[in-house]
Amino acid sequence: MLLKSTEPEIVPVDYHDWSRSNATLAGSVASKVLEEIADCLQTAGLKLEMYHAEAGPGQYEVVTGPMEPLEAADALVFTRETIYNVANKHGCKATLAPRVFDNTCQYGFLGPPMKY
Amino acid sequence: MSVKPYGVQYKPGISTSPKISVNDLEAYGIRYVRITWVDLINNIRYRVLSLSYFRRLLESERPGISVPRVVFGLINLQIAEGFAPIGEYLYVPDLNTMRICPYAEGHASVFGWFQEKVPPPSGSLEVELCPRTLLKKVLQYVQFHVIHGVLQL
Repeated sequence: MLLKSTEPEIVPVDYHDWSRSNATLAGSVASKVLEEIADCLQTAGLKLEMYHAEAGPGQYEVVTGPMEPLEAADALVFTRETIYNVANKHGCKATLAPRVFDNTCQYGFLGPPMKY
Repeated sequence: MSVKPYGVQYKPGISTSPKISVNDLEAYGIRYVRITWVDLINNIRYRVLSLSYFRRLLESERPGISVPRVVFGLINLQIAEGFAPIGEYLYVPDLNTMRICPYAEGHASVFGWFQEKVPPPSGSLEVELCPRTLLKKVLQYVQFHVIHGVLQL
């Protein structure tokens, strides 16, 4: 999740939608951050499969593909570190916290119950 | 009707993620090495070594850096019950994990294994709380039980 500020309130870089093109418009901070993360991971030797916008505000997903367990754990830590650093270079704060907002989709919460 | 497998096919046992050799650090313009670990509350921590000191370290008889044993009991600046600010582990770089950090020019990152500086009576240098050691032991346990037919993957 990419945030443009955390004080005095938590503000995401944008409000988009799931895999929707408005989440990565050319020239937006999010599109620059995402592409730089993708470049960095590949330069470091990780295989990047894809990235896309997730449903929550400022929420994105990076897919690095399957590996053996220990290698995968190392790659996860390296990927997290890459995400935090690249976001910071662009004036953002990246977080993988499960619940940043209380009323919408995020890593640990799929949003309020749907009514059918 | 037979259906073809869809998408990219992966098989276990094949590394999909090449690292760099410690011999190539200069060629990649690396000047600093981040010896990195993750503690039990998911903080990523590292020490930044100059490449010249890192090389001297690797030439030593037992390469590693000293990290206080309280490393696994720290929650911010509080110490969890059962830990004390006394004693040190040796954190030994695992050179198979070396990667350049493209987001930090001139830096590379390497993970490692926590080891006892002096072997306890058991003789093993392994540190039970070391996260990578924990995962390695789980994998060894699974492999053992698969080989002996107790577990099926």
